[in-house]
Amino acid sequence: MATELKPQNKSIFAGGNLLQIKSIDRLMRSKWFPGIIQWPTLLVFMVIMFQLLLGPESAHDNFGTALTWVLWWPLIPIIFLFLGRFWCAICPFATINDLVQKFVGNNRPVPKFLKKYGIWIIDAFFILITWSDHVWGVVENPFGSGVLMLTLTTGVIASGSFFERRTFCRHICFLGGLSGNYARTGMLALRGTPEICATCTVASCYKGTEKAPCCPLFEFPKTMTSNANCVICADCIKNCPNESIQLTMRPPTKELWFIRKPKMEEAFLSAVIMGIVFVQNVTMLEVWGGMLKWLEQAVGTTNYAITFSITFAISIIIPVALLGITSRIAGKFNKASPVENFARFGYAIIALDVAGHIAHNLFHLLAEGKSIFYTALVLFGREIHGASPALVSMETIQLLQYGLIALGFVGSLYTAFRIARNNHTDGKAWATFAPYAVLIVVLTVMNVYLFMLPMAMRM
Amino acid sequence: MKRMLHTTSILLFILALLFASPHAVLADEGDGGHQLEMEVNGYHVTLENQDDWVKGENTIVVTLTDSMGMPLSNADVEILVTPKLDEHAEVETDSHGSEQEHDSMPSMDMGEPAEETTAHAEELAVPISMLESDEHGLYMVETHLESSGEHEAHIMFHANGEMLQADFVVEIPGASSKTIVLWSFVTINVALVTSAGVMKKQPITVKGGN
Repeated sequence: MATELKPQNKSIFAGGNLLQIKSIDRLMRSKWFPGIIQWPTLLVFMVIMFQLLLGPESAHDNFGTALTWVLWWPLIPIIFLFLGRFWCAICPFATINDLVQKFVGNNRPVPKFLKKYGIWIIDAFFILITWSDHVWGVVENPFGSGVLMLTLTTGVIASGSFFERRTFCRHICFLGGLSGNYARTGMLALRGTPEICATCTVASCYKGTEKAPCCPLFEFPKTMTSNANCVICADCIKNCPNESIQLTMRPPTKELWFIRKPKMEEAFLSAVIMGIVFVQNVTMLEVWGGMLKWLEQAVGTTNYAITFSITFAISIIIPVALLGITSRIAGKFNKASPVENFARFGYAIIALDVAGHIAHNLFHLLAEGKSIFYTALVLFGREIHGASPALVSMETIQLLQYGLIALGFVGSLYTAFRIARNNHTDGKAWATFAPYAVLIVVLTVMNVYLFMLPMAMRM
Repeated sequence: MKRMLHTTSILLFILALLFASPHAVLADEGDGGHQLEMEVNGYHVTLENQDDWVKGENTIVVTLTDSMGMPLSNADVEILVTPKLDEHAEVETDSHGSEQEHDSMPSMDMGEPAEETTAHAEELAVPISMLESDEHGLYMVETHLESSGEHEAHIMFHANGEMLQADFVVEIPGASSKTIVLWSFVTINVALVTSAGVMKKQPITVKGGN
């Protein structure tokens, strides 16, 4: 009988089930979870939207801009690292999707093309949104940020109105794609217990019960091997009649060591993210103005859309091309095709992506953190002029940035090594690993160099 | 829980309406910070806003380079931004006493000073000195624009002992553009929800059945 089987009792630090801890178990099984965090988040989102669309026009004075781009955006990759995709469980867009679906949802199946090309669509959206942010100044313009949020709201309303579950979050949301990749490095994993699930025929986790809805992201814990699409909403924990679901802690990046079916589009996204981190850093450097002038003279136009597009394309092409070249070189040793190597080892860069992303945004969080407080005061008619928005000194921020890049470097290097070792047991592991180790060193040096240069602020 | 959902939904709907209220729109949408440029006596002048042109606070950036592309430093740059008036009622204030200098400027198209000026126009028509930043040839100033619509930006600077002027026209969009954007979103979303509601399959009920 399945009900006689129980997940093993191990220490939580040795991969034991966190649900052994009564308070966590109670929280996860509570009918108020994740609503108790979800609804306040929606209210904060309303305040942000109100500020972005109708508040002060200068980003410097806008509380919505401060909350979105100085607090939320820097915190989000840190959340992915510690809690996987939990943000997606409480994301206000997802809540709007659920609300619309509840009242008018048609619950049609996900269109086939979305299933087939979903990640490519996410890749394209991610590139497009980053590009448009720079060309139209979305972050610096509160109303522009508000329009971006409204666009996403329209997307989830359309999805919730016509399609089942959270189709938008799974197949279209650019942040979902990013978080899916980052959650693979995350320290929290949710899985079914194989011995228990093997005997289960009801699949309540996937279908839902009267206790909780079905898995919003179409995951089936029985066969799950990745946390890329698990939002830790705990619906499956509530629904499982056999108490099979386990919530465990794992070393960061561990999931990346054992990707069974590597996907080209996911590996491509990891290289693209590296390029986007580069471009975000480059355009915030104080030397960017000089670089732009040089570029304007070289191409003979001062049109920013053109000059930025060239910079953007180069920044994205560099890591993709480097990964491609490395995969070709590695292919000489392990006899795998460049495409196969690209797809398999692209995942190794994710750790460095996360580190670069956090390090970049750490600057905004720590160098501009007090602006959240200052802009909040503006809401009450008080203004503070001339005060520094920094929470800590630049030296401290740079030290933390280097530390993070070092951790990302170790994570990526070790991941590349484990991928090589797991897939090449024929003595070619080290030869396969070596070119990727060089690539990771090169990407790390590029990151460190960019973080050494003085950076401009968002607010 | 159900009651809470309903209350939240009503709250959401009210807030959505509030967002879209045209009367609640406080100011204008920016113009995207486009760079404007022109040549004046062989000098290249560019005018841009650090962010977007908005009604309210603006950080104006002017760059000056000579015919060789070298930055023009210590040019004693001033800027005057005034709402553009129609040709028949052109108003140019001379309260700053630079009228005579203007007359001798090449590339000037200032028009004759009008006899009557409104107090508001006079208030706006005080030229502001721009400070040169660390980067040579780049001058910046923060200024407050009181109104939307077309504005004339007159940039006055000294080069080789003569005073030159570059005139630009910048558009500070009216509140209507924001309102149009917000109403468009509301319309699309209401249309989506309404169509979904109409298309939603109703449960089949058989009269007289159990």
